[in-house]
Amino acid sequence: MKNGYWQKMLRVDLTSHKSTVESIAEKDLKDFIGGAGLGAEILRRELHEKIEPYGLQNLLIFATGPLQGPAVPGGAKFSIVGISPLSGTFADTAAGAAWGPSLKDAGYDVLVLEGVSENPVYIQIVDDDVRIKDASDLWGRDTFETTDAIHEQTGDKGLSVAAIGPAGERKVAIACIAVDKHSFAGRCGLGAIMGAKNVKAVAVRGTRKVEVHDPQATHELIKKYQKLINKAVVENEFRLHGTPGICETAEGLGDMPIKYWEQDVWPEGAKKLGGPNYTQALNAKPLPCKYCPIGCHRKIKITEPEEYKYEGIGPEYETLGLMGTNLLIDDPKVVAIGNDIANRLGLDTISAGAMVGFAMECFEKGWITTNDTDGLELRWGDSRALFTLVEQIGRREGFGAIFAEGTLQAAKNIHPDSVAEVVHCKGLDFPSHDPRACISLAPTYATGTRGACHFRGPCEDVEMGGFFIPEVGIKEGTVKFFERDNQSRLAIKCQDLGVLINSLVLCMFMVDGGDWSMTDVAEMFNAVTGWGYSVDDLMLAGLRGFTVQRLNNIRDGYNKAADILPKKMFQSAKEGFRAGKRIPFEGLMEDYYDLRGWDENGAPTKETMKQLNLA
Amino acid sequence: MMVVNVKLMSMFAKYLKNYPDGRVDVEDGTTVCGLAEMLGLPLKLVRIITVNGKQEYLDKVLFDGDLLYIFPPAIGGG
Repeated sequence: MKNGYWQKMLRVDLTSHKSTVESIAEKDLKDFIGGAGLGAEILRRELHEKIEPYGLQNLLIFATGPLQGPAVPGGAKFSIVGISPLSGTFADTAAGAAWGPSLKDAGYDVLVLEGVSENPVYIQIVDDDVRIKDASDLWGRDTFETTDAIHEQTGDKGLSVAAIGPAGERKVAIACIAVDKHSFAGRCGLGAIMGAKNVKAVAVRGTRKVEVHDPQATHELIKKYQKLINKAVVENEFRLHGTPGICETAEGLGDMPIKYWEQDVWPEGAKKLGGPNYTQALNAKPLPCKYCPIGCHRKIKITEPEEYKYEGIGPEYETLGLMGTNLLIDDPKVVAIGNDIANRLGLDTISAGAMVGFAMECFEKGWITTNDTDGLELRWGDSRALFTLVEQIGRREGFGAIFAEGTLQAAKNIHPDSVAEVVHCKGLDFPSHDPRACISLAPTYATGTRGACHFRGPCEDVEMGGFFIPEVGIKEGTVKFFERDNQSRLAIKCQDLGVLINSLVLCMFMVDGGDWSMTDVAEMFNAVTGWGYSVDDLMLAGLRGFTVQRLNNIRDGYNKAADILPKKMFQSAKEGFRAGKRIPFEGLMEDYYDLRGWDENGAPTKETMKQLNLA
Repeated sequence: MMVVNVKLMSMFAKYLKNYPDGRVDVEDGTTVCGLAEMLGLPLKLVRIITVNGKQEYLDKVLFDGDLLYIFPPAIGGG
C-alpha cells in the first residue's frame, strides 16, 4: 500500500467482549481521508434510523488519517465520532497528546466500539494484542487518577490513555474524554457515550511504522515545515502566550462572551485573564502534543494564594471565556481551578462554563433561588459558585444534576421563560466566539453539523487573525466586518476546511497561526499518500465529509428549521466595536443555501449528491 | 504637535511601556503607520485598527484627541 494507511479497522464488540479486524477500502480513504469525514461515513452506513445515543446501537469511532504515522507537525491528532447525547446530532471531537499516533503504530487506522459491556472495562491495545480488561477498581476515579492507575497496573508507561471521569460514567451529557492528562476531546458529550458503554478508558501503544509513499520526501518536508511553523509561532508569540494570548483582542472586537452574552464590553476583565498577564501570573509554559512545534497547551504553576496553589494544566482561551468573562470572573487563577475540577471530572469546560453562566442569569432573574440550590448563591463573579456547581454537574449531584441532559433541557425544568435565553445551536452551547462580531459565524453555527462550533469552520480567524486561504479565494478583503458580501462563502469554505483538517487529522493551528499554507499541506499529504491531490481535491473531500455529516442529521430528523440562532444573537450591542450592528441573518442564510446546493428543506439536492459521488 | 490616545492590545502592550497613560505626542498629519513605526510595532503583525471606534487602516491620518486601538492577530481561538 505505502500510502500512510494500514487500511485496517479494529472493531470491539463490548457486548460479547470480542474484537475483529476489518479492511478499509482505499476508495473510502480517497473519498473521506480519515478522521471526522470517514467517521461520518461509517455512521451513515451502519446506522439506518434515529437511535438512542446511550443505547446498544450507537457507535464510538476513534479515527486517524494519513498523517499519524510519520512525525508530521500537528499530526498527533485523532477524531472521536458518534451520535451526541447532548444534541442528538452527528458529533465529532478531536484530541491530541499521543493517542492518534499510538493507534496508528499499533497497526490500525480506526477503532470502532459497539454494543455495551455488562461490567466496567478498559481496553488495552498493543499491536495485535487486544484485551478487554476489568475496570471495576477504576470506576469512580477521575481522569488523571485513571490514567496513572492504568500505567501502574500494566507497568507500561508507554500506553497513551483516553479516559473518562465520573461525569462520563454518570452519563452527564457534556462529558469529555481526557487524553494523556492534557488534551481533551471535549465537545458534544461523547465521554457519556463511552460511559454508557461501560468503557472507562482505551489505552494504546504500538511498535510498528506504517509505510508512506515517499519516505525521503516525507522526512525532508517534516524538517522544512517544523522550521517554518517554529519561526512563525515565535514571531507572533503564539508559543509564548498560547491561546490565552487572544483574550484582549477578542474582547476588544466584541467576540468574547461577557455575563452570559448580555454585556458588551469588559476590557479590564479580559486583560487580566489573558496573555501576557496570564503567562506571568500563572508561570505558564508551553506544553506540546507529540511532534508539535507550537505547544499551545499551557503547563502552569500557581504559588499563591494558598487556596489556589496548583501545578498542572492551564485553561485555554475558550475556558477563560466561558469560565471567566462569561461569569464576570477576572482572575485567571480562579479559572485555572475551575478548569482543573472539570478536567478531572471529565467535563467539557466550554459547556460547563456556559451552564454556570446560564444558572447565574437565572439566579439574577429569580428563576433559581437558594431554595433550589441548597443555599448556594449563584452570583456573578463568585468563584465558589463556579467550583461548587461544576463539581455538582460533573458528579450529577445536588442542584447541578439538573444540567445532566444539557443546558437546554435544564432550562425546561428551571422556568419556561428561561428556555429562550439559552445560547446554543442544536443543543450545543456556544464557544467563546460571538457571531455578532464576525458575522460569518452566524451561518457557521446555525448549520454546524454538531451545533455551534467555531472550530469546524474557523471563519472568525479570517477577520480577527488574518488567517487566509488564497488557494480557495479567501484573502485579505474577501470579507469586511458586519458586511454581508462573501460572508456565507467564507463560512462554507471554512466548514469544508474544518472537516478536511479533522479528517487528515491535523491540528488546525498548524495552518491557522503556524503559517502552514494549504499548498504546503497538500505537498505533505502527497508525499505520504502518493495520490497527487491538489488543494481543490482535498477541499472536495472536506465538502464530501461535511455533506455526509449533514446527511446523518437529516436521517435523524434535522432540517432547515433547526438551522437557527438563539434570541440573544439578535440583540445589538450598545457599546464597543459592534455597537448598533445586527446580523443580517436571513440574507446570510439565503446566500448559504444557494451556494451549498441544498433544497428548500436544507437537504443536498440530487445533483449535489451526484457531484459528490454520494448518490 | 497633537496628542493621540493609544491602546495597544495583547502582545503589543509592551510597545507602549514608555507611555503609561497611553497619551502619545505626534506631529500634525501623522498616520497610523507613522505612529506604529515610531513605537516600534512590527507592522507585519498589525491586524486590526480602530480610530474612535471605527475600523481604519494604516494610512489613516490622525487628529488631535483621536482614540486609536491597534490589535495583533487573534491566533489560536480554539
